[in-house]
Amino acid sequence: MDVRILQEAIHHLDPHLADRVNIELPLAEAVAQMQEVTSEHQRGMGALLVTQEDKLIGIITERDLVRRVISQKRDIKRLTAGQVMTAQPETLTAEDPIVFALNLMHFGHYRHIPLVDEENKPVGIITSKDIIKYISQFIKSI
Amino acid sequence: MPFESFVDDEISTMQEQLNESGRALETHEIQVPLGSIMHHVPSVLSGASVQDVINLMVSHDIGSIFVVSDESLKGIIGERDILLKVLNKLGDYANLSVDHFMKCDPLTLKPEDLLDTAIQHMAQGGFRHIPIVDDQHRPLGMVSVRHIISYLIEHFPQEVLTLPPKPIRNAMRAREGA
Repeated sequence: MDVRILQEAIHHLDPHLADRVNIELPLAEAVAQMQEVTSEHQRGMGALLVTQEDKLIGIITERDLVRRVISQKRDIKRLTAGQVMTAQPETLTAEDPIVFALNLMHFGHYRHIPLVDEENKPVGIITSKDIIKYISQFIKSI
Repeated sequence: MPFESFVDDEISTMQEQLNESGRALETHEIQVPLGSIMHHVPSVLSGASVQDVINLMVSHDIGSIFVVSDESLKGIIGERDILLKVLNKLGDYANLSVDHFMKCDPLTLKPEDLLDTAIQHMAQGGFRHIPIVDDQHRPLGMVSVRHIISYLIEHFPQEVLTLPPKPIRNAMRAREGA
């Protein structure tokens, strides 16, 4: 496996379109959207991008929901997306090399990296699973 | 055609640089046994409550744990199972049994199986976690997508570790300040 495959642009991973919610959206609705997307596609992204005036301002992951809502027994009906999101997540663009995403995932312990355009509007999302799938094409099959 | 020959020279120089030794991950590095990269994961007994599982996930900062019965692996339960099947759907789920929500009989591998096998299974099956079990099907550890990415990064040190960890954020700050 050649390291050059990691120097390709992120768009080679065929990034998913991002599921997005407005910061003011009640969390129950945001969660319902996440559940619906995941069951529709059999495998979801595991994250929602939170926007304000179409710009990315946060991300809500499965981990955030388990740790900030479920484990603390907070009432999902009394929260908004903005109250549980991780604000100002690390982002990349679809033109950045894949190795940047690996780097962020390793050092930042992120499983999801939002992709944005030059105006910080979300255009997609990549997950650590996307990277494994990409790498798998370059190693022997089972 | 001096210009074309100049471009050809540039391209061949770039190719030579890229082909220098140490830039490829050797086959033997991908074929490491999973036993050497798996991570310890806690277990709950079959019949344990959803609350027990959530507590363990939070205290161990881990996304997926084993469910065992008579020491043998019965299933795994992850954040996604809890999020999809429990949150917003069931009123008082905390005391319900994990058995209703776990993924039963997940794909498992042995510690002597190799990393490339795990990568292929994850890519094809869409798994984020693969339990590693012994001959009696007792769980020994877990190999996750995150651990594989960390392993790969450690084996691409010259390309990966020299990059700034927050390349775009820094660039955006610069733009905002301009």
